[in-house]
Amino acid sequence: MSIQIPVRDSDEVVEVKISELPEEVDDVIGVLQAELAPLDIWIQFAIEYYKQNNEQNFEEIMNEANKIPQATIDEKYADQLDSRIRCLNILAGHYIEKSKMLKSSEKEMERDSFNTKATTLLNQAESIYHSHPSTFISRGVMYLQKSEFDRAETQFDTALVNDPKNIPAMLGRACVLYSRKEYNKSLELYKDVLKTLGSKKCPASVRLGLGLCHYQLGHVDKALACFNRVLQLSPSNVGAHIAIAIIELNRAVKLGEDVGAATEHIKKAVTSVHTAYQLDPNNSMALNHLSNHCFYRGDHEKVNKMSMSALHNTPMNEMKAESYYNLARVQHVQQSYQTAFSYYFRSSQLNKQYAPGLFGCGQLYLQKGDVDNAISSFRKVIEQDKDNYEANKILGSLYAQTKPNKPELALKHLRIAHAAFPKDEEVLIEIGQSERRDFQASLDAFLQAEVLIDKKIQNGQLEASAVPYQFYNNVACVSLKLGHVVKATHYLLKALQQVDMDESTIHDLLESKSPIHPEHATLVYNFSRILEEMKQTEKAKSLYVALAKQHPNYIECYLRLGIIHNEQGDLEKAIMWCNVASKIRPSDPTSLAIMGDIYLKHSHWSLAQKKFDQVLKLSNNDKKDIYALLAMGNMFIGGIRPDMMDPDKTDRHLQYASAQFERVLQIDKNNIYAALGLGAVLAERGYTNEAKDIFTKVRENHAIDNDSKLSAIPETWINLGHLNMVNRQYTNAAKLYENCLKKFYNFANVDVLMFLAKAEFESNKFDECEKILEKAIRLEPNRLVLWFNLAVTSHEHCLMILKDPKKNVTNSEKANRLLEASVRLFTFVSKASKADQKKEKAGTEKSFIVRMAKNYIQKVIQQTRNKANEHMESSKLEQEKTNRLKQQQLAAIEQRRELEDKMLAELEQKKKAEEEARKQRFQEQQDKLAALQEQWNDGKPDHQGSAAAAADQEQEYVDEDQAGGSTAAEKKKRKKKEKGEKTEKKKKRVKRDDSKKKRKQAEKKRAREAEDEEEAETPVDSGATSKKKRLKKKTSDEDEDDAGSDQNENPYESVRDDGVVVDAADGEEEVMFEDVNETTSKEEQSDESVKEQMVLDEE
Amino acid sequence: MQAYRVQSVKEEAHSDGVWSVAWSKGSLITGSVDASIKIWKGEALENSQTFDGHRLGVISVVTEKSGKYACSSSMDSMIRVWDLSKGTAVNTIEAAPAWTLDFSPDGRFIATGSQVNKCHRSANTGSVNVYGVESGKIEQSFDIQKKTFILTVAYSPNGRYLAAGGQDGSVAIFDVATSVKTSLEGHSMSVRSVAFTTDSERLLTASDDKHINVYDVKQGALIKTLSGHGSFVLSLDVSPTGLTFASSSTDRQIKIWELSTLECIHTFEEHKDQVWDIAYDETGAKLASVSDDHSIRVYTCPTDTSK
Repeated sequence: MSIQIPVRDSDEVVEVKISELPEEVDDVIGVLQAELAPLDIWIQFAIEYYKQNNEQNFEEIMNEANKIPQATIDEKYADQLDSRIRCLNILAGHYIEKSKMLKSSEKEMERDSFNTKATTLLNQAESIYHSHPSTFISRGVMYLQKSEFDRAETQFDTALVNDPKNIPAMLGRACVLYSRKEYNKSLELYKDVLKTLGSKKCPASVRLGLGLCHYQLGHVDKALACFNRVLQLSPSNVGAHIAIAIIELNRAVKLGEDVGAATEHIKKAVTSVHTAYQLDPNNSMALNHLSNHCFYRGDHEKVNKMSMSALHNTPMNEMKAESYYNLARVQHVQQSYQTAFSYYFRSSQLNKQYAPGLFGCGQLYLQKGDVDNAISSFRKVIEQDKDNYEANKILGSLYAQTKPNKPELALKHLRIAHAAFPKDEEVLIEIGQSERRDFQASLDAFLQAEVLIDKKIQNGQLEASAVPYQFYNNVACVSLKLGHVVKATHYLLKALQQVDMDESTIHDLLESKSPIHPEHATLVYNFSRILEEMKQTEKAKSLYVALAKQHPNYIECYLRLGIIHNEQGDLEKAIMWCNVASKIRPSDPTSLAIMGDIYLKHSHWSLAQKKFDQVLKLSNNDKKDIYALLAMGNMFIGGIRPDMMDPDKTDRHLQYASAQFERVLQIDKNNIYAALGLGAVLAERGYTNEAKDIFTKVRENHAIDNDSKLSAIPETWINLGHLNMVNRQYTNAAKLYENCLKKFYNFANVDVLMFLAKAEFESNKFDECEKILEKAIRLEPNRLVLWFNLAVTSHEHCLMILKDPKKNVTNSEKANRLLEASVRLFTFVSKASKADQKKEKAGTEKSFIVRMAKNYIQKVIQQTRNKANEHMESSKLEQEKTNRLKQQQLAAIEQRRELEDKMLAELEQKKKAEEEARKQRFQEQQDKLAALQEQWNDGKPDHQGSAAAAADQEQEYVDEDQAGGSTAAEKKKRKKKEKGEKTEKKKKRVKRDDSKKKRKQAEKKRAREAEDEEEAETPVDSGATSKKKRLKKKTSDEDEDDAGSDQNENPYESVRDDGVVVDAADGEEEVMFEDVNETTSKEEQSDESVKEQMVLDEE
Repeated sequence: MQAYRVQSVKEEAHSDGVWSVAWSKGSLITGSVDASIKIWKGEALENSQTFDGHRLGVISVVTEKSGKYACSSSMDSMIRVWDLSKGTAVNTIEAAPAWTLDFSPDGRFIATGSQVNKCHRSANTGSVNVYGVESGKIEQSFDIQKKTFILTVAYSPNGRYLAAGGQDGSVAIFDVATSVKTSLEGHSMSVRSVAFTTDSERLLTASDDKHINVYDVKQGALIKTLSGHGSFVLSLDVSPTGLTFASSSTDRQIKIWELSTLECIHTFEEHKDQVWDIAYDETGAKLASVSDDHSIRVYTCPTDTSK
């Protein structure tokens, strides 16, 4: 091949073979200038030099081309506008490329100078022709280079406006979109380019772009196909090699467990990176990846070298961050923590979104013991990569272990870590330890961890003896908390096994045969706790004693002994043990708090208060403080409250209680126990509305049910109960007290039983109240107040019955029984402290009760007894009256039966007579009809005749009845009255169902007959209606009202509608009944006559 | 070999908690907080008779060997002696407040604890009063010399001793003939039941401290404390076989203990509420229990030595 330079003003050409381009570019330039060669020829020469890697000559030719004086241009090159712009753009592009090649950040100046040169050239191009696409594209590329994407976009867009299918502009724009992470749009554009060019002509770089977009969009397979295609077209494409390496590496990471397959992918990745590196030893990406690989191979020297080289060959911070990360890691493994930290730090500064760098920082902060910064670093890691397993795991454990620990946060991260990698038993164990509220979840996590541990042991990955005893101990503790005693025992034995102990060593300990290592004492302690749960209290006691003998500072042993003795009612020993504990560790408020509790249970208020005061002095507004304050608050509200003798004292106590609760609320404003306590105090002091407010708030924010955490202490239920009492919600209060009894005391708590009794008393449920008090007395018969309350309740119960206006003997008897019982009880109570009176002060509760009981006996009982006697008398009178009435009633019933029989007979007769009459009438009509038929028989059609006959018949029927006489209005009125009476009769019929069977049967018979009668009426009725209808056709609409009233007045309907049974006085019944019977027959007549009357009206 | 099993169940035997149970010639007698006393016959526990008369809850019902009488105490401060064949009260004794009862082995006397001391009217200390069944009068009185409410009393089968347990945890054994008192230490909470073994040599005591103490009667010494119940131990009864005894508790359980080893050999958990009383029948083959859940349950128990 050769380039031909046309000779000026002739047809000759100078031919220069491209393989023989002169070394001296000036020669070429000289010829070009002399011959005024077209600019394209200049370009051809420049490009040929460029292709032969002679950049200098290229630059010189292009420079000269651009330096052609304006005059020459105007004269000779005016027509080569396009070529002139091309010249400028080519050189500008070259400078841009050169600036791009200067990757190292130190060469900022040089880069700028190239960019300035490029800009100058482009300005020149623009001044020649301001909207040439290639100028825009060049500028766009330059901006891309400088990561000024918005400006780049403007340039490419402008180019595309003029030429929508301008390939370089399209590619430029795709780049911009890619850099903005709009991978979908970028991908579309690349695809567009591919289409425009056709797949054959499409350069590798376009396919690289496609591949990158696919990769970013997660289409890994497509991406890989693209990169492979790139390599087919251009085997030396560094970018494609690196991209493939990254894909392979990711695949290896994802496989994780499957080591064989992962290794395959890693091998592929390494090969690709190597190729990239060989192709371009200065490609930072390749260098970083390769150094990463070297790090895993342990070749730290190479890592350092490559990372440094990578650092120098890139201006990009992202890339540098990776290099620093690699450098840091080497220092990290070599334990040069200071240097490592500074590299990690630089890495994280250069790219604040680079998770590995942040992670390294976190690790080294931890190494330095700077937990706060470590936490913030790991949090940043998670911000970038929220499911990062390692970071979540570490963060979880940090939150769990550092103080003040945040179990909720810890659990959140641990759960993410667990989801990311479910087979990490360490995470599961941490979860188990952090679940302090949900013991079941804790146990579940531990048990899952155990399965993984067992698997590892089976596979030989872990020695069974290497499992820490603490693990099994923890499982045992959680099981115990859940009440799974058998499980707890199982795991505790396992824990013991880990430290070469078993039950027999514990027995040896009991006999002081073998000493227990201090670290393992906790196992023995937990074993004793399990024994306690198994109700093996005596054994547990001796074990605590034996353990404490060996480890005198193990104060928990003394405390347990204190608690056990307290539960067995041995106050002296209980306090003795607690004191031992308190002496050994005077600064520990636990023993004081327990002593406070013990004194509380034994009603030694002042001693209890003393202990709680000591607790408060020791602690500084922490949880234990709250505990003591709550205990004191509850003590003053619940324990000392019922001081009937001294209301002022009571009020002082309540004030004191409220002060305690308020202090708790100052420390922890959401403390629900304190809120409830305060509510109860307010209620007790009469601030009902304020108490109600608190009550409502508590209710809104906390569901008080059997599952809620709040419901785990009895005070919650009791205080809620008190609040309900104040609100007069006695039923609710009773429910709460009852739940409390059921949940905590197996109904064996006298105090709560008393609250319950009070609630039942207030709602006048005396029967229930008595039973509850009796149950309380059954438990603690020595409490005089219970007996007294029972007496009062029976007395009130008696009074309630006496007040009931309904007096009967059964009630009177019950009232008397209750009165008798209450008198006995009052008597017993009044005598209770006869002997003591001198010894005991007059102000005690007991003497108060005794006085009250005496008062009842002396003043109240006699009144009640009188009332009861009156009641009994009137009840007896009432009963006699009732008996008399009953007899009367019986006689009346008998009489009535006779009457009815008589009436039935009469009815029967009447019916017969009527039937006769009717038959006769029918016969007469038949005869008449026959006669008429005979008359009309000649020639007239049959049906006409019969219709006329029917009409005639009706006409006759009406006429006949019309003879009845009275006016329509009169008849109607009468009918109404009679109907009312009939209704009455019907109702009574229903009422009398309490009569004897025989009577009932007779009635039924009668009723049936009555119905028969009614049925007998209906045909007439319907006949009338049908006729009416027929008549209506002829007459006007005005009749409708009449028809309506007729229906409404139907007596049978009204009986059925109003089902109320009228309770008539017994004495009048008979008379009424007679009346009714009399009217029945009249009614029948009148009914018919009314109907007929109406028909007449219509006519 | 027989095993421990439930034989009969009578739900809603009373309208409220059942507090006391006793056997008489194969029938059960129960007393309830509903103030009634009921007789139950046969395996099906048919209610054959109901004795009304008490105004308040029946605390205790006891029977004597001849089967003629039953005796009951109630919160209404009355002790009633019932003729079982006639179904009537033959004697009504005012005793405020009478608590649990025990017949003397010869059936002539009835013992009960009381807060009111008939011997020393001046002192408010607990005493055990012994009433004549026929006379209805106090025939003998033992002073426990402690200010406590006596919750339980028991005669030894040989009739020599009378034991009492109080609400403060005190336990005392009196020699019936000499009135000499032996105090037994060991409980600090209510002792709700005491029972002698058939040989009258050991005394068992049940307490709210969840434990049962076993004492040597002659020495007045604690032999062993038995753990096992999760709450108050309410009642004890020694099997007439002399091999086992039973305990019942607020924890709803009934435990059977072997007297030779003092180990728990069986646990029933059939009731839905605290089990106030238990009683072996005359043979020891049946055990009855009553509870606040209103029900009666009867269990069959192996009586042979090979358990």
